[in-house]
Amino acid sequence: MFQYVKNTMGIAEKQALEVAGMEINDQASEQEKQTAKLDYIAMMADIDLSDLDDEDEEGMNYAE
Amino acid sequence: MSTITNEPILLDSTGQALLDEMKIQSGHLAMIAEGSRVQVYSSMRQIADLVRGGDVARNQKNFPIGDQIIMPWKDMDDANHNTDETAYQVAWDIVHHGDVELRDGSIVPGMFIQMHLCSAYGLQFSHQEAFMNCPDGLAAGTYHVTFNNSWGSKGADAGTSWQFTLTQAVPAGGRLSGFEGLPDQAPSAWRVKSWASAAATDPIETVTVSSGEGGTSLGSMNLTTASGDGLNCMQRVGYGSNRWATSALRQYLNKSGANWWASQTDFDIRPDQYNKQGFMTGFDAEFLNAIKPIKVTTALNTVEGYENATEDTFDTFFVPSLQQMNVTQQLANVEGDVFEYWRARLGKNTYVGTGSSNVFDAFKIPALNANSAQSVRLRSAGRGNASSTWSVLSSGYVSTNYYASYAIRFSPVCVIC
Repeated sequence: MFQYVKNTMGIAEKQALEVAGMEINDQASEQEKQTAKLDYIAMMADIDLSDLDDEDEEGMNYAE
Repeated sequence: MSTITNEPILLDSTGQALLDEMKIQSGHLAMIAEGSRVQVYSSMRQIADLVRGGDVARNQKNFPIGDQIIMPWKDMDDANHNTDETAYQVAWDIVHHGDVELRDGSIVPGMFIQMHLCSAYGLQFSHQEAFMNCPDGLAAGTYHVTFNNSWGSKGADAGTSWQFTLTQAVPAGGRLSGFEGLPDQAPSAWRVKSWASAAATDPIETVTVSSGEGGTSLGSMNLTTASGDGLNCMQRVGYGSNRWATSALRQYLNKSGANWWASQTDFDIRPDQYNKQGFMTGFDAEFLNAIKPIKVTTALNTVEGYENATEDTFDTFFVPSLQQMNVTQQLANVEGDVFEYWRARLGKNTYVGTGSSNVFDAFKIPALNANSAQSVRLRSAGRGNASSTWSVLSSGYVSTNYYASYAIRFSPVCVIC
């Protein structure tokens, strides 16, 4: 019988469980995970991350 | 005084554009009426209308990666799962959105969905192939073949000849197969089978093989290429062919009913699972009407002398490639865009490696009828040989361990478009 199941959060939860069972060497680094999440969120929101990077560099006043 | 004009009231293209927008609006109105995106989709037809009326960006928002569509699939060969009431309720993960090419050359937005679990049974990618095609038949008698190359350490050595005696004639259109498991079986275990046709249920006879040059020479066999004598290569004979376009698995996935297999080459032999109903038999028309054949590109092996590096097919159902499963490829970026679903499940933003040093629990895929992880076939050829494809192993890593003739499970993909 047809059914549509919203499962995006299910992926995140399942992923956390699966990663917990991995060898240390096989786990994604924190940086990799953060980048993957950002990519995924950006894809869903239809944002080009490279544009954001450019904005940050131009828009922020870094203390020298 | 009235003015006569030859301009149409409404251009067909304009009407089609209006219809597409109306489909989208109908979907959105339904969302508003029911107040929740989760509950809004009530049929495959509705989803297909939205996907077809949208574009990739809009579809990504309407149908996020990781949402699932549940549809029944009846296993017509299993009395416990062959009715509407007992059908498997198959979960399909939304794994990717992208433009796809249809048979007529048009480019349309597609929503890729993949079985969350793998199949209820295994199927050979290809049976071990024949070593000789007999379009004019072959008389009973003693014959021998010679190996031009060595393979393994069991006795398949370059320059050796192997003889056998057929007690019955092979009719026109018949084939000779044998030497199965060539590099891993001792010569004492080698056999030759004669077939009345490629699709015959059983061989005419199965005879033993011994060392020697008795009788008539049928020619010589190369390791990876068909010989000038018209004999097949040793690797396809020993373990089948790793070419997706001509594979038995591709035929099974894209056919309904019995008799889904037909010989695709001069050396093809009917797969052992020939008596099963084609995969599409088990789906309702509602599901099948929502999906279409799309262009699927697969890299060819480098050892058989193909003119091109890749080959295109148009498939309604196909098994994923290395690239689509987010795995490092032997020929990069030709076998379809990476499925974002697998990047999310793996927690990686780059391709993962192959081999036993790259184990991932995300790659441990249970089956429709088994909770334990199973080995699952991919369509990417092991490019360094003629007879193995890549697979996701039950232990969670990707390898070329499984030759084409091994019957392992599969987690197919199709595209709503």
